[in-house]
Amino acid sequence: MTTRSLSRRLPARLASVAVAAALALGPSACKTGPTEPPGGTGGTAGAGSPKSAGPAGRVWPAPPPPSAPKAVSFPEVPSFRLANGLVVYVIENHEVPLVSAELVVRCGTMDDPFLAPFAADMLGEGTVSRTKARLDEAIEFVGGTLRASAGTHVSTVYARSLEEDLKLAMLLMADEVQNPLFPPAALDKLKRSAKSTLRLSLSSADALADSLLGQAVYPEGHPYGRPLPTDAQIDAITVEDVRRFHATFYRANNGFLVLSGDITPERAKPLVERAFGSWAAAKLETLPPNPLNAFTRYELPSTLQVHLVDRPDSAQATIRVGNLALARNHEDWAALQIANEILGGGPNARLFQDIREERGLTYRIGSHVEHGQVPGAFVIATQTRTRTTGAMLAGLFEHIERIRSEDPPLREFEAVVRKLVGAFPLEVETPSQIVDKVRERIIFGLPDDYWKSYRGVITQVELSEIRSAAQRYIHALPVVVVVGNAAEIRPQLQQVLPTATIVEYDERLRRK
Amino acid sequence: MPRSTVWRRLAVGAALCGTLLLGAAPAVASVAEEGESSGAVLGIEMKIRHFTLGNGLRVYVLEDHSTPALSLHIAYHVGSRDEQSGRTGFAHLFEHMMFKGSENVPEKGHFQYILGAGGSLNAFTTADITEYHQSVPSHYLDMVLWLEADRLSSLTVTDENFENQRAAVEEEKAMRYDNRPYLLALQQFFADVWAGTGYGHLTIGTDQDLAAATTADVQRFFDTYYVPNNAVMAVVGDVDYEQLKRKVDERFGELPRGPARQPRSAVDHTMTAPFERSVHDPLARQPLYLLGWKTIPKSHPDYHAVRILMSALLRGDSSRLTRLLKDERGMVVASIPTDGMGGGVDAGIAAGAFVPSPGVPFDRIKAVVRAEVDKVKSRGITSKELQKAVNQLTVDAVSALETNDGRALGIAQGALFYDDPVHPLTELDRYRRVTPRDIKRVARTYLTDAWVTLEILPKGREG
Repeated sequence: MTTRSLSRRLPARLASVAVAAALALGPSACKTGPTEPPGGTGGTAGAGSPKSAGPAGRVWPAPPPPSAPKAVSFPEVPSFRLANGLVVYVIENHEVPLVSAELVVRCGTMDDPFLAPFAADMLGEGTVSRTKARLDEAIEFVGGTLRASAGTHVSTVYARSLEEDLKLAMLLMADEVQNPLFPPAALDKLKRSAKSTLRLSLSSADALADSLLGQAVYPEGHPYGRPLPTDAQIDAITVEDVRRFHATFYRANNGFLVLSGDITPERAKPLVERAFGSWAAAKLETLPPNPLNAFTRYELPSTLQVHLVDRPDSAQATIRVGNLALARNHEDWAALQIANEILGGGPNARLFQDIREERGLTYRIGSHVEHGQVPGAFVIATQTRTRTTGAMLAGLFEHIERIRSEDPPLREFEAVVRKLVGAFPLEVETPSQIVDKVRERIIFGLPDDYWKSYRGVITQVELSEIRSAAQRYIHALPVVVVVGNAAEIRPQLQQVLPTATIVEYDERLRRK
Repeated sequence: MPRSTVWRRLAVGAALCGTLLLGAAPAVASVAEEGESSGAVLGIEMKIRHFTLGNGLRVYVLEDHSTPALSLHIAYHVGSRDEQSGRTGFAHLFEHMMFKGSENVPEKGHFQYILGAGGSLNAFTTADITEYHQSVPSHYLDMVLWLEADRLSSLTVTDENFENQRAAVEEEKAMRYDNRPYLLALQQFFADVWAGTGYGHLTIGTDQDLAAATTADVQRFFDTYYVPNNAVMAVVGDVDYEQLKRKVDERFGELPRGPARQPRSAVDHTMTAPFERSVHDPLARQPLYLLGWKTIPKSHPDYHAVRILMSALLRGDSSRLTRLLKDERGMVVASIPTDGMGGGVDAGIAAGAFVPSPGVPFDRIKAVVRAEVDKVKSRGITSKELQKAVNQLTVDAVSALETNDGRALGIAQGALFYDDPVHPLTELDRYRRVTPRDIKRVARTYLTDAWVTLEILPKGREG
C-alpha cells in the first residue's frame, strides 16, 4: 500500500540511492517487505470459512468457493555429466529469451566463514587474461549479470543474459571460476568493505540478536552458530589463503550447474563442454569432509536462559526465541511446517493476529524454521517497545504453550493446508523459482521426486501430528535473546520469567 | 509458446498489429465490443484478447496455462495529479480505503481471503494511476473477481474507518518518507520543478492536507473516479477467455457507468533558464547531487532515444559519465541513473544523481557533465555505446515480462495510458530503432543549458 513512481523498479532504485549514499557501500537491492494488512482491528472470517460474525455481530457471506485445485506439473529436470564430473541440470522455459546459469560449488561459510566469501568475491576482480574492467565491460555490454556469493552450505556463481549472449556469459563465468587472478589490491579493497559491513552488523540489533541466538542454540564452534568476526580476523586473511581455498573447493566434481530459461539440453551441451570441459576435477580424498559431520551430539538446555544484550540507547527491544529443531530432509518437516505456519508463518497466523493485531505489541512478528543439512533452528523473531518487553515475552510463551498442548481447531488447520497447497503454483512460476527449488532439493538431500509429491505430502499430514511436531520441535525451554536497554528490561524479565537465568552482554556481545 | 531460438539482434522482425475488431454479436449480454491485439518482438509473443462491457470497463486477457496461477490487475485512471489543491495525498489515502471493507467483505477481509488462498496482493498510487493487483492460484478466480467487484460497487465509507486509514497513512508517511534520507528532498524538488501542474505536489501529500480531508471527499472521489469506464482490468495466466468474459460480465456488468473522465491537461516542458536548488537534509550523512533536464512526455516519439542517451551517459561503471567521474577522476563515489523518476506519463525528466567524493563541490561535477554533454551534441555516441544501452534496456524490458504479474502490469498501463496493451513490446521495438543520429539530435534538443539541479547537503555542512 504505497505510493510509487510509475515504473515499479524505480522505488528500489530510489531506495538504493538513499541506501547507497547513506552507507557508502555501493548499490544494494531494496527488499520489499511482506504484504501486511493496514493497521486497525476488527474480526473477520478466515479464508474459506463459511460464515463468521463481525465486530458488530454482523454475519458476512463466504466468498465464492475455489474450484478444484489444478495439478502443478513440476517440470522434468534433465541432466547430463561432463567427463570431469560436473553435473548439469537444464530447466526449460521459452516464454522470454533469457537464460540464467547458476554454478553451485559445495563450499560455504560452514567450511570457512572468511575464505568462502572472499574467494567468491575475488572471482570478479580479474582473471589471468581479463582485468576487472574488461570483465565488467563485456557483461555490461550485453546487459547481462555476472556475480558470485557464498552462503552457509554452498557458493554460487550466477550469470544471466539474453539467450543469444549465453555463450559469452558462460565463457566469462568459466574464466572467473577457473582462472581467477586474486590481485592483492582487490583483496585489500574487499577487506575494507568487509570491515565496514561488520560495523554495520554491530550497529544492527537484528544482526546482534541473530548471531547470539545461533551461538546459544548450537554447540561451540558449530558452523550454524559462529560468533561475528573481528577486524583482526579479517585483516589476517592473505591472498595465499584465498587461493588455497579456491583450489581446494572450486573443482568440476564438487558442484553442479543449473541452466534455466530459453535453453535446451541439446544447445546447452556444447556450450558447457566448451566453457567447463577442461575444468580440473578434485581427487575425492583431497576434498575436506563436511564440517557439520564433526558434530554428532546436540544438547538441549535443561533450564531457561535469557541472553540480554545491553544497548542503552535502544528505544525498542529486539527479541528472538528459538531452539534446535530438525534437518530440512527430516520426515517430520511437513508437520512442523504446518505447525509453524499456524503459529507464526504469516499475517494470518496466531502471532500476527494476536500479538500484533489484538495486543498491539509490535509491527513485525513471525516465526520460521531454518533450512539445515543438520538440525536447523526454529525461531520466533520480533521487536517491541522497551516497556512492553515483559508483555511480549509473556505472550510468546503463552502461544508456545498453546501450540504444544492443544490440537489446532480443524478450520485453522485446513486453512493453513489450503494456503500451503495454494501457494505452490506461485512458487514455481518462473525458471528462477524452479532453480531455487532444485537447489534446495540437492543441497539438503531431499528425494528426487520431492517437489512432484510436495503438495501430496502436505495434504497427507493429519491434524493430530501438529501437536506432536510442536512438542518435539517448538520447545517449552527455548533460548531467549533480547537486545535493548538492559536496565529497563531486566526487571521485566525477572517478573515474567522468574525461573530464567539471565546472561548479560555488552554491545559487542562480550559477556559481562 | 513456440518460438524460434535463433534470431539476430539487429535484424529482428517486429510484428506489431493494432487492435483488430472481431465484429459484433458478442455472446455475453453487456459486452459492447471485443477484439484482439498481438505483438512479437525478439520472438516474445503477446496475444491479448479484450472486451469492453456496456458500462465501459475494459478487460484484457492473456492466456498462459503453463502454471495454474494468475495475476489480476485493476488500474483506475486517477492519481495524485488529479487531486484538488488543499487535498493532496488524497488518491493514495483513497487507495487505503479500498481495503476497509465493502458490502459483503469485512474490513481486512480482502487481505485475509487472498493470503489464505496462498496468494499475494497489494496496491500502489502514482501521480498518474492507482493500481490494485493480486496473484492467486487459478482456482480462486471467482473469489478475486468477487472481491474486486464488491469494493467497486459498494465500498464502505464511514467516518470511523476513514479516520483509521488516515492514521495508517500518516504512519506510513512517517516510516517511509519522514525517516529516510534524501527521499523527501528529492520528491519535493521534483514537485517544485513541476509547480503549477498536476505533478507539482507529493503523492503522499502533506500532513495538513491529509488532516483536512473529509468523509464527503471520499465519497465524491469514489463516485467520480472509481467507475467502470475509468478502469482497465488485465488478467494474465491460467484463465479461459470465454469463461472469464462471462464471469466478469456477471459480477461487473450491472455496475452503472460513471461520468466521463475529464481529459488531463498537457504539461508544459518549456525551460527558459536553469532551475537550481540547494537544500539541507538532517538525515543525510553525505551530499547527493542531482542533475537533469525536463524532456518530453512518455508518449513522445523521442522518448526512447532520450532514455538510451541517459543510459549511455550514466548506466554502469563503463558508461561515459560514470567512468569519467568515478574511475578516471575519482570525483564521485557512486553515480545513479534516475530514469523515470520525478515525473510521470506526461512529465518527462531525464536525470542522474551522484554521491560526490569527500570535498568535491557540485560546480566541478557540473562542469564535467556540461563538457561531456557538449561532446555528445557535436559528435554523438558510438554505435557500440548505442548497442550497449539498447541491450541493457532490452534485458530490463524482457525481464519484466517473465511473470504473470509483470505482464499484467505492462498490459494494464499500456492500455490505460497509450491504448496499446502490447506496449511492453512496442517499447522494445522502439528502442531497437533508435540510431546514433537520433541520439545527437535529442541531446541537442533537450539537454540544454536550462537544466534542473539539486544539491542535498547534510545539515550543518556546506558543500
